[in-house]
Amino acid sequence: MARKKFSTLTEPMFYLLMSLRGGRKCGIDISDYIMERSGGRVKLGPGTLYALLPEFEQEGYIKYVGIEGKRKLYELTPAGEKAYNDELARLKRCIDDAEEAKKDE
Amino acid sequence: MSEYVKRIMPYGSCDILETQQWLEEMSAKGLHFVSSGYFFAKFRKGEPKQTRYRLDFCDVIAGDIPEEKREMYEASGWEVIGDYKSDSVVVCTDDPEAVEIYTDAKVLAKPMRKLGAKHLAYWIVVLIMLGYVYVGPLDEVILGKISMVSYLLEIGTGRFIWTCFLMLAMLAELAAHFVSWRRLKRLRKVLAASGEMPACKPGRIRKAIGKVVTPLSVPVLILSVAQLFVMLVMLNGVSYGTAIDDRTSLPFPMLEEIDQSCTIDTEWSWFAEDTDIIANRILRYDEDFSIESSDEARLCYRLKYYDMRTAKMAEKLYDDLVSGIVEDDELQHARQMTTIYELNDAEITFAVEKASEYETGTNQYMVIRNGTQVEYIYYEGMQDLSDYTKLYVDRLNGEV
Repeated sequence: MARKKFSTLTEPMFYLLMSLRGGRKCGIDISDYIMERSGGRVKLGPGTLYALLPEFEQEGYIKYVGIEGKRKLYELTPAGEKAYNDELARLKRCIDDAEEAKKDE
Repeated sequence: MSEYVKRIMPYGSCDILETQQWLEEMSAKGLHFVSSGYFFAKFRKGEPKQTRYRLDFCDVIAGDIPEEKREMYEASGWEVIGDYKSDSVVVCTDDPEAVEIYTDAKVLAKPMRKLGAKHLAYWIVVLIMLGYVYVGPLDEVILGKISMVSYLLEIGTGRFIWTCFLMLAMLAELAAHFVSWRRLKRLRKVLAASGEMPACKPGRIRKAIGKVVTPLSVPVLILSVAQLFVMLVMLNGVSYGTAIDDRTSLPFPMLEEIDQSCTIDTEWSWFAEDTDIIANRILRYDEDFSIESSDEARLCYRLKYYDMRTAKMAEKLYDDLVSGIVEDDELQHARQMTTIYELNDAEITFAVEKASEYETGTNQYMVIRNGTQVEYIYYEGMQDLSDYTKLYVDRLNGEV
């Protein structure tokens, strides 16, 4: 079986999926959302974002839904939603484990 | 005074980090990148600035990136300037807070592999093409079809040295670009492992070599193309050696002496003398003609005369020329080697084609060796060339 490309999402990837949960967006809107949501902490360069979008599309996490001016619009797919939720659950478990570890100290 | 200046680009398409640093250094000197051709970059003069330059080689088609990507760059504080050697797009920012264009450099691995493959393929094709044209029939020497003597004769002294020089220059270019490709490959591995673009640390020697070898590709490519042109012209027989006006005391008979019914078409006539690394004298004499009674057919008389520097070389050349007639015959003609004999110490091979491609004349070949002298004659006409064998030998002996 082929290895799953995005078995673990990086922080910018996670925020990218998060941005599309609120509805369809173009690249610039995604970038603005990530900047605003993370308070400028998560940095996603325009080149990286532009490269990630077709890769996520190929993976089936997002889909191209149309064009607005010269900007391509994308929306989250059920597979993308699942990947986001899985990653969120994994992060929560990480936090729970960290909290428990702190109690044990 | 012009607002712009041009500079030779010291780095190739594969030298991503080095090029970025070079553009930043130029900007710090007050020269701001505007555009690039294949060899030169254009800069606008201005105040020295601490500008960050980046090369983006992803999604580049015909030296440009998609409009949406351009907008994303501009929205992120980056200005898209123009292409760099058509392989990359140069972007820059004066904002120290602007996020790097590639925050996760792992995504660059695949496009970087494509860029490297394209670069390598280009230089390999150039080497094969030019190498084949320069080296010419060396493969025939290796396969034993011809001797080194014939090979060297086809090159000639001046051209041989010139060709060797260009070949060496081309090899130096290829080596430099191969090193550049290797560096890109290493960079790709670093990116795949770390996801971060490493800092550029070009060594002084590496930088010096890059600045010399990369611009050298300009004259080397221009000279190579010029060489190709010259060779093509020579192959077409437009120019070879020094034209001869004085046609007395030649070591062979002229066409008029062989075929008195001919009308020479001077448009297709040429007669030249040359010298070579292994031959004291080379004469080439070509005449196209028609028969007086029939102006429609154009027939021809081609003769090559070599005075080789040693008898051994003459023997080898003779063997090559004879076997050339035989091999050519095996491929396409019903050529019959009718006579191989000696006359007055001269070694002679005569061949005639049974079925001529032309209705008017018969294609005939004769190769004669007399000491260090070798003659190759091709005649397409109504006469029987073998009737004149003694005349050829006597001329070689200087007896007529």
